[in-house]
Amino acid sequence: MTKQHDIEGLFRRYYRPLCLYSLHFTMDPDASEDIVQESFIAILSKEAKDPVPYLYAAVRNRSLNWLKEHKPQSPLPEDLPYEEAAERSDRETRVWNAVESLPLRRRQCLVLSKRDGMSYEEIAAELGISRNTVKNNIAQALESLRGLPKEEISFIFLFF
Amino acid sequence: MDTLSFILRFFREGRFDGKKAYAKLYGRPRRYYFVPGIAAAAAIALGVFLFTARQNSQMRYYAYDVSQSFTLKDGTEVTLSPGSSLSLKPHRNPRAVNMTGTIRFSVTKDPEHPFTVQTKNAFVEVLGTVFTVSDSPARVDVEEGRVSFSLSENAPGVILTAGESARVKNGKAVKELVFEDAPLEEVLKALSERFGVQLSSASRGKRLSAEFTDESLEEIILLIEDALDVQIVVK
Repeated sequence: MTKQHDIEGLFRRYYRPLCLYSLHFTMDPDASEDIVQESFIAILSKEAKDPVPYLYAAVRNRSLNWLKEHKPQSPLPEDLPYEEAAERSDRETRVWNAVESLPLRRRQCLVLSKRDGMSYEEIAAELGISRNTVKNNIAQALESLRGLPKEEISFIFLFF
Repeated sequence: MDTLSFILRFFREGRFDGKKAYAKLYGRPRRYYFVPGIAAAAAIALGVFLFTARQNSQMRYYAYDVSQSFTLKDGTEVTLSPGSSLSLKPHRNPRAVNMTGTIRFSVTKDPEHPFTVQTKNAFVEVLGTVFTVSDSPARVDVEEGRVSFSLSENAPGVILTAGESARVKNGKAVKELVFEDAPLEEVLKALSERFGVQLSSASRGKRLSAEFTDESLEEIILLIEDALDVQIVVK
């Protein structure tokens, strides 16, 4: 059994990347969280020098099984080899973390616009600000997300 | 679908949080069982601490350079000579005091609850009376009522009544007769009562300061006759 503090470290480091990896299969965040948690429990109960590849494999298998059971009609996503999948998940995690660390107002405007498909007017009404402010907030949010230098992102990520 | 669109499509604050998931899977069950235990233990410990603290809370009285009079919780009046101190634990027993120095007590009557005075090397138990306790040398002077004077709470003691004093001598509590600039008539009256005799003297206006502990009547008579140059008649 992996030591308790190792498990906590693995959760902090790999939980979100693995959830995002599973999400590419399921497109269902809650299902993906369940899958990743089950995978952690299954893998960490075994002795393994490097549990991360096993975690990715477990998440992949469980995600595929879930897909077969719940969405048998949906097309299978591109099946990446472990290294590529892990790299993509880490990259996506960096973006997720960057969105999470945006100033509140910018994050609200961005998410309401891009996730919920609300118009500038609807967001302005919802947040009680002007349409122009909404527009500026979204522009600033996108700029900071795209403008972050790669080094800085990885730096932030290292200490996440 | 580019990365940002993919992320934003599913983004929700706090989602996919490894710390939270870890706490849910590993931390919370442990906490669930432990926290009430710890909280209960802490509450009990706090209760015991507060109870003990309350039971041990002390009231202290001091007299620094002048005599100080206080009324204790039970109504007993105390007069502390300079340099004396008195302490008691009001929640444990307000009629059990510790003291140093010299203190005069005027104890309220309460037959159910004897008033006790503990010093470094003497223990005094009373019902309701007026007396003075000195710490070193240990001694008690009784003005009214009856007082039991011993070396410690369980040691055999002497019973003192009004006008009597006692001190510790050779590891024992012994009665003594103390006179400070007292008229000879008063001294003879006290000695008469103490020894069950009738003492008298023809001399008038003589005064005496003396302390008698375990001297015999004959010794005392000789001492007084010698000191005051008087004649004492024993009947």
